[in-house]
Amino acid sequence: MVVIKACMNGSYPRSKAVARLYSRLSSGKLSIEDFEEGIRNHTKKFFELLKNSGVRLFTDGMLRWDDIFNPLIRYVNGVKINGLVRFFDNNFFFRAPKVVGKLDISDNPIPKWFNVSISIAKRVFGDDFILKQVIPGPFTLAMNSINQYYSNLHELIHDWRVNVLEPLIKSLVSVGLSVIEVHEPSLVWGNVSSEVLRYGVKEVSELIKFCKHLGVDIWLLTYFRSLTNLNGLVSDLVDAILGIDFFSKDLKRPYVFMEEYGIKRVMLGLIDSRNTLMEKASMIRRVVSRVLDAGVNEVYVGNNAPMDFIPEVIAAKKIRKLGRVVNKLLSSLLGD
Amino acid sequence: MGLKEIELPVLPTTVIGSYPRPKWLREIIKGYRRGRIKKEYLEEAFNDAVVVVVRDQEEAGIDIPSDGEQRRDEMVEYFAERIGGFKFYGPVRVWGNNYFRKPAVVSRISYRGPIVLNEYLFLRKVSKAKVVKVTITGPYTMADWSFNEYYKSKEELASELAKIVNMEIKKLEEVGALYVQVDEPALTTHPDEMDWAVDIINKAVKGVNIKVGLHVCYSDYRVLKPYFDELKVSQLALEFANRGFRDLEILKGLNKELGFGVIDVHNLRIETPDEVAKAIEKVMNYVRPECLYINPDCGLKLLPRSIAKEKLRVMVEGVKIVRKKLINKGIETIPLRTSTTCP
Repeated sequence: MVVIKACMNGSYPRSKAVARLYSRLSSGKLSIEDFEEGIRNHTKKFFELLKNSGVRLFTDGMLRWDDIFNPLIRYVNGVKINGLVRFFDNNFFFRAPKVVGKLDISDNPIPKWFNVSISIAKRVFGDDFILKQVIPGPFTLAMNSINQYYSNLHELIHDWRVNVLEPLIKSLVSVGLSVIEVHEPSLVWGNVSSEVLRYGVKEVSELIKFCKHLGVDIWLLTYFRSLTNLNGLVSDLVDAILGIDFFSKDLKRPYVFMEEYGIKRVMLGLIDSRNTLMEKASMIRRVVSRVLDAGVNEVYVGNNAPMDFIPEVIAAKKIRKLGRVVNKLLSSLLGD
Repeated sequence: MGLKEIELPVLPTTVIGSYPRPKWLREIIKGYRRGRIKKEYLEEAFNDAVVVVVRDQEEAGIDIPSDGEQRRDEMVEYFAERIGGFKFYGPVRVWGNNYFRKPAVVSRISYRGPIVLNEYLFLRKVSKAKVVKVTITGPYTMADWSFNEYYKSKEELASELAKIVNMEIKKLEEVGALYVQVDEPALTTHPDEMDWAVDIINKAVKGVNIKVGLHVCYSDYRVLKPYFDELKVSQLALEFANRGFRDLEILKGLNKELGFGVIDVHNLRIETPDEVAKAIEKVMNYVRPECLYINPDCGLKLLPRSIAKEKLRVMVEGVKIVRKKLINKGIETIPLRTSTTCP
């Protein structure tokens, strides 16, 4: 049985109206209740866009997140929030976690937010949807931390996983999480020794096992550079749905790669979150068809990276196109 | 006064470019956008704002002020609005709740006439300083921070933009500008593009005989270091306060002036003069004082105006502590250099 679905990954551009909610809250012009209502309304609007586009597998658009790290890192003991750091090669910045003590997650509102999003999704979609929660992966967290506490990177990666991410996932499961979307751009970014990378992959594979044990499906999204760079190491990750950025310049022989490693489940990043140009339906159809030929039987088609990098009007247009193209593709395949 | 005769106090203080707009200017801009204010009143307000922010900088003791980029909403947007070939779809977030209108290149790039010439002429008229600074967004950053829907490659787009920047700088030179800063915050973001990106910047400053600084911030300076010699600019203005003055060792072997960033522009906490002085003394282990300018990390526009001014005042106080020691050693002034090396 072949599965082909459209999906929306990571963040949807935070509109200026949402930004205004934050600024009015911080200046005391808005009560927390009115702020929450505002966020709920914007989340609902986003879900309606997805529903009308035929996309039923999605995140909550991360409207409450400044980037993939914040606010999570604000709820971690042992972390101070440092200066602005560029997010890979984008004109987009995040406040970096400065690790000054042993990492340990504290009380945080992320499960509550998930719960709120799931109830909004139920109102919009009924039961026919899957809501993913986004978290940064342990390797990406470690590689983007300013480490002033751990004596080596191994311990840092390990503690991000064991003391922060796994307890967080557990608490999300208790409020109904079934799919977690782990962002790991650092796994493919390079600039790291092969020894550290090997250890990073091992830690991520432990996270995959942990999720499997909890009955949570895990998506492992890599972007900006190609997953094909991981070569031999990828076999430790194939239990996750692997995200491949089809717009990364270094993508090499993706179909051979999928065949070679017996990859059965992939998220094809065929909607470019870093350019305003609209994707051609023919390109999407061609890639999906080649991926199916390579033996993949679960194919998700979505945006290659968080959508913060394009204007909202373009993101909405791309989501509509995504739904249209994938659903057309699906019905043509079912018709065959 | 000719360029060669201009002397500046040792450790000249300057700004990177932008400065917070006065609240009344923001209201007037809002009114203009809603159709309640006429264009001529807006222009008058811009001029008045420049007078005010130059005054702020001069009161704080800044040696080389800018016009605070009062007329510019954003560094790429402003140029893209004035160069043919761009289109705007909407705002894009840069961090937190800060946005810019990222332009898209949808047709051939064309020079439609001077972009910042009038900014310079007005600034020159209202500032008492011997030297003022004009900032221009560099061709690489403009290309990198635009959506390219038209050119075959980013390199081709950046190369076309370099021609435009070059024309603009030459026009500034013709009317007497002494110091232009090319802003290239995106420069190191794609290390594999550095070779051609540096060529593009050199193309943008080719044949220019005035002082040209290059500002690069929030970047991996290890990527920039191998290109110190190749860059045909007289100064690199770099951000160090935000990173807690880590990475200073990359300055070993720097063959040109350094614009040293000592003020964190994304933090409301005001530094102390002692902190500034200590940072300058630290950097003097790598760069001779005769080759140092002192500035904030980046533009100040995101700070409340009172804090921005106080940060500048404190920066100048910090500089005075170090200057005093240098004057005791007989180092009092430095020339306004145009050469691409600082001997």
